[in-house]
Parts: sequence; C-alpha cells; structure tokens
Amino acid sequence: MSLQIRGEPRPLVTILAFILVFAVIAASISLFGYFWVMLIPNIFLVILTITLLVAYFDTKEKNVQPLDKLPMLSVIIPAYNVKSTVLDTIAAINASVYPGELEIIVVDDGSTDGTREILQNAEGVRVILKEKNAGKAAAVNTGVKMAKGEVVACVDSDSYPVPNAFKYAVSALLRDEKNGAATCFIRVANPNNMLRKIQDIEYLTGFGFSQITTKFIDAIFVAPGPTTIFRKKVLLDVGGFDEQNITEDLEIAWRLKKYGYKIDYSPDAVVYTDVPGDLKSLYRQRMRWYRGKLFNIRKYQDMLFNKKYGVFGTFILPFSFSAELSGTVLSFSFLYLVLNQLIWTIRYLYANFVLGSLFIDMRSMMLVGMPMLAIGFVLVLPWFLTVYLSHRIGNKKVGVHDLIATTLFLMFYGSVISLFYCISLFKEINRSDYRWK
Amino acid sequence: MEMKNGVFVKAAVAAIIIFAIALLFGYYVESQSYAYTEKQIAELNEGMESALLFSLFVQTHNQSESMCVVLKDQLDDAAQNTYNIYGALEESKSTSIFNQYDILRKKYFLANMRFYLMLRSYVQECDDNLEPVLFFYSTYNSCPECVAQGKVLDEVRAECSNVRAYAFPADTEDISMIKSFKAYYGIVGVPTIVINDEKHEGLVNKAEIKELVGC
Repeated sequence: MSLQIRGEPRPLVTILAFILVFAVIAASISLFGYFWVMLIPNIFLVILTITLLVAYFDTKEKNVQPLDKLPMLSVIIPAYNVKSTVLDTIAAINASVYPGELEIIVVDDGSTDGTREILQNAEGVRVILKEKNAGKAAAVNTGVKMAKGEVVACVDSDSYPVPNAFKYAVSALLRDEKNGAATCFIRVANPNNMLRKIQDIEYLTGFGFSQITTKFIDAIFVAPGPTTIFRKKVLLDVGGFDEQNITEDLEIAWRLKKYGYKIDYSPDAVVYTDVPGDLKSLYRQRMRWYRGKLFNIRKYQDMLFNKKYGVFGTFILPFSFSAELSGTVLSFSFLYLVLNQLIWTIRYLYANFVLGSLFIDMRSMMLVGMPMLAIGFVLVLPWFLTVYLSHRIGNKKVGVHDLIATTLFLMFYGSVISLFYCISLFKEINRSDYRWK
Repeated sequence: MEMKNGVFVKAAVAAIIIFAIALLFGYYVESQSYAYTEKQIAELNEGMESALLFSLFVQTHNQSESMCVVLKDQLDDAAQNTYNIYGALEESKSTSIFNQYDILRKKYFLANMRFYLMLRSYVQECDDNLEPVLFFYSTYNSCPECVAQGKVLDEVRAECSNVRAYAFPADTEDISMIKSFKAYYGIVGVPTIVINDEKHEGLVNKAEIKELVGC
C-alpha cells in the first residue's frame, strides 16, 4: 500500500538540485573555509538548544499534579501484523492505575499474520476487525468513532504505558480547557544493544527534555505515535487523523495548533516503546519521520513565520526545519571533504610515483586543528548540559557502562542522523514513493 | 506570554555570550600557536642578525680563516630552525580559522630570503662548496606534489652535507621584495626548485637533485 501520491518521480530535478547544492557548498568552503560553512547551520541548532535550556530553567513546575477523579478513557490500539507485541501492550494497559473508567479498543487493520486469532482470546478488550488494510491513521479514526470515553488515548501496538501513565497524562490534558492533547514521556523499552542504547539517550532528550521545554513555550510540535491522549470531541472536530499522511502523529499536532488548541505534557506519564535495533530499520523509520516532517512543512507553510500561531509558528517550525538544513550542509561538506581528500591522495601518490620515492608519508590534509576544536568545545557545552538534564528528567544515571553509548551519541550519532536528514530531503525532492513496510 | 518573551530575551543574550566565548576562545588558541611561531621567526632573525655582523667582521678584518668556521656553525643552526618553522607554520596555516598566518608566512619568506642571501655571501667570502637549493611551494592542502617534493629534499639534505635547502611559500605576494625575488627566478608554478640559479619546474627526483648539487 502506498501513501501520498504526489505525481511522478523527477530524477532530473533531483540530480540538478544535488549538483547545485554541492556546487554552492564547495564554493563556500573554498571561499570562506570549511569551519565557517559548518558553523552557519549549527548556529540555529545552538540557538534552539540554548532557548530550550533557558525555558527549562524557567519552568517552575515541571510535573503535573494527578487528579483524583478522571473521566472515562478509551484506549485505542491500531494493530497490523503485530502478534508478538500486541498482547504485551494490552497487558500493560490492563495494569493501569486509572481513577475512572477505562476501555480498550483494538482495531485490527487487516492483519495476515495471526494477530486476529490472538486478539479473539484477549480479555477485557473490544476488538474491531477491518477486512482491508488501510493504514494506521484510518484504523485509529475507526476506533475513535467507536470510543465511548470523553478522552481517548492512541497507543501503538508495540508500546507499553507504565501503570500511572494515563492518570498523569489525562490530568495534564484536563488542566487547561484549551488543551486538545497531552503527550507522554516516550522511552526505549528494550535498550539491549548499542544502537538501542543510543536511541535511549536520544528519546530522553527528545521526549523528556524537549517536551518539557517546548511545553513551557507552548510549542509542542508532535503528538508521539507510541501514546498520545486527546479529547475525543477535539479530535473529531479537527477531522481526525489524516489518513494520507505518513507521519500522522506530527500532522495531527500541527493541525491542533492550527485550530488554536494547546498540547500539554506530563513527564510522569512514561510509555516504553520498541525501537529499531539495526541501522536498516532505523533508516526506514527515520525516512518516514523526516520525510513526513518535510511534507507537512509544505502542507502547513502558511504557519511558518506566522505570528498567529505564536512561538510554534515563529520559532519552533523554522528552527526545527534548520535541522534538515544543517544535516544537508554537514553531509555535503563531508562529501566535499572526502572527494577533496581523495583527489589530494591520488595526486600525492602519483607525485611519489614520479619521484620514485619509496617512503610514503600518508599525511592527510589537516582539517581539524586546535582553534576549531576550541570553538566546537564551547558550542557543544549547552548540548552536553541538555543530555545531562535529560538523564535527570528520566531518573537515569549516567553510569560507567553507559559511557560508550553516551559518547557514541554525542560524537557520531548526530552525523548519521544528519545523513538521514539529507537523504530524506532529496527523496522528498525526488518525490520517491513512500511505502509502509 | 510576557514570561515567554523573557525566555527569548534571555536565550538571545545567552546565545550571544556563548558564541562570543567560543570565538574568543578559538581566537585565543590560534593566537597562542601564532605567537609561538612568530617568536621562532623573531629568534631566527636575531640569529641572522648576529651572523650578519660576523660576516661584516670577516669582510672588514680580513679574518676569513678563523671566522669562517664560526659563521658556518651559525648558518647551520639557522638552517635547522627554518626547517622546523616551515613544518609548524604550514600545519598551523592549514587548520587556521582566522587566517592570521598570511602575515607570518610573509615574514618567514623574508627571513628565509635574508638567510639565503647571507649564505651566498658566505660562500663567496669563505670560498666554501656549500650548495643552496631553493624550494618554492604552496599550502599543503592545495599542493600534494609539494609535500612529496619536500620529503625528497629532506632526504637529500640528510644525505649530502653540502646542501642547504630554503623553502619559500610561493603563494605569498604583496611585498615588492618577494615579488622581485620570485620574478628574478621566474617562479610561475609549484613545486619549483632552483639550483645554481637554474630553475627546475615540477617534480625533480632524488638522483637528479644529487647530480645537480654534485653529491
């Protein structure tokens, strides 16, 4: 099943765009130097980090006070070929401590792997079977229509809320009448290999620190798929999830903003979720996220720099787009450097060959010197502080055995993600078809 | 909303402070290594000054025999220093952010030129068989051939006791003396080697250099 039909792919445009970007970056590097070209996109990221840090220290009350009595909650779990995880999800929700009524609706989206059979035996669950697979957003919309609760929780079938999660999240949702949704603190359920351990830290910063701080400036810009709570009425008012969108969780958050609703957050509403364990699945997941973001930036371009949408429009949207920009500049600078080094080495080896020189000193071009390291060191300090605070929010100690993952996260993971950002941009330019699974 | 505007004002101030600290710190670090190389060049010039006085002494007092030995020692010391500076200077230049090194490279060029002229006058005065080799190069990053050629010259220098090599950054301009010096030898490309006032453009291998210098 393919989503988002946006016309034919355009390889020629893509190649031209690629060459143009490369030429601009190569020319800038040779004119101004490698360092200054790298610095400019990073300025945005440093400003974003510092702003969030200031917001963090300005937030007096970071936690939400749970209410004693809460309205009925309908938990909707879209399920498509998830026989290995869906029962764990249901079990986690059944273990919820929720001061109010709670129903679980599982919407089977035309599974073919035996998920349907498993669901027949699940206890305390309303199961809706859809004959044809129509995507996650459509499944959730079906569930919402069936929901009896005033509040609905959309939970991925590979995510596991802690017992208190709904209590805190619904309390956050209800503390302001303008709130349309409340997000949870998404954490990694299975940090059992290096890549997942690195993502564990990434989620701590992305769903812990970033959500607390963007909440403070009223600019939460994603309603994470693993678990988000909505007022049912609001969700129906804005038209439900966009069934044609590959990142419907991002899209719904932006649409809520567009309709003037707020999004709240509780760091105590912890939800564990499975994350990709190898680079290939991570790549697939991130292509979906980042391409979805780019697609939605186009869709909601009128919100960009629009004062009507407050900090969200004037600050968070443009600055979060700068991540794609820096990713692209970084990747292309790296490509330029590799090509440059390659040409240098070939010329050097050839010169040695002509000279008949037996001794080959493989000195490479000097790229990073002490001045650059000094500047880089100061500029990453706010980011280090962010990672530290994120661990504190998640009550996770930075132990000695986490040191490797933390180091890899700080030093290399960003480059990998940058490359993904860059690729997603060009795939979006090429209009490459996106497929679920 | 007022409180939130406060966040942005504070963040803007913090961002400006952090960028300022970062750039100042980077500038400080670069200046430190710049100052070190500058000091080395100053020491080189001082050594040259005293060698110059010696050479004047030799000329005015007609004391060639005894003084020539001392003069040669001094010139050899300076030769070692210029070689060390050459490596440090080029490495620092290729990682420089604030481009302070152009001035230093001019200073280095001039010091080397002075040194070379003195050696020539020493050779005339003391009737020595020393063979000066001029090596024109440009920045490491732009000229891998220069790195390879430099290595070969290094080896020649180690093997032949009569060879004295002088490296000149040919991508340095602006000073008329440097221009005339380069024009005199007709330097157009790099690497270029000058032996016995004769220009050899492009790569010259070890055997050829040895033959030219008679070693």
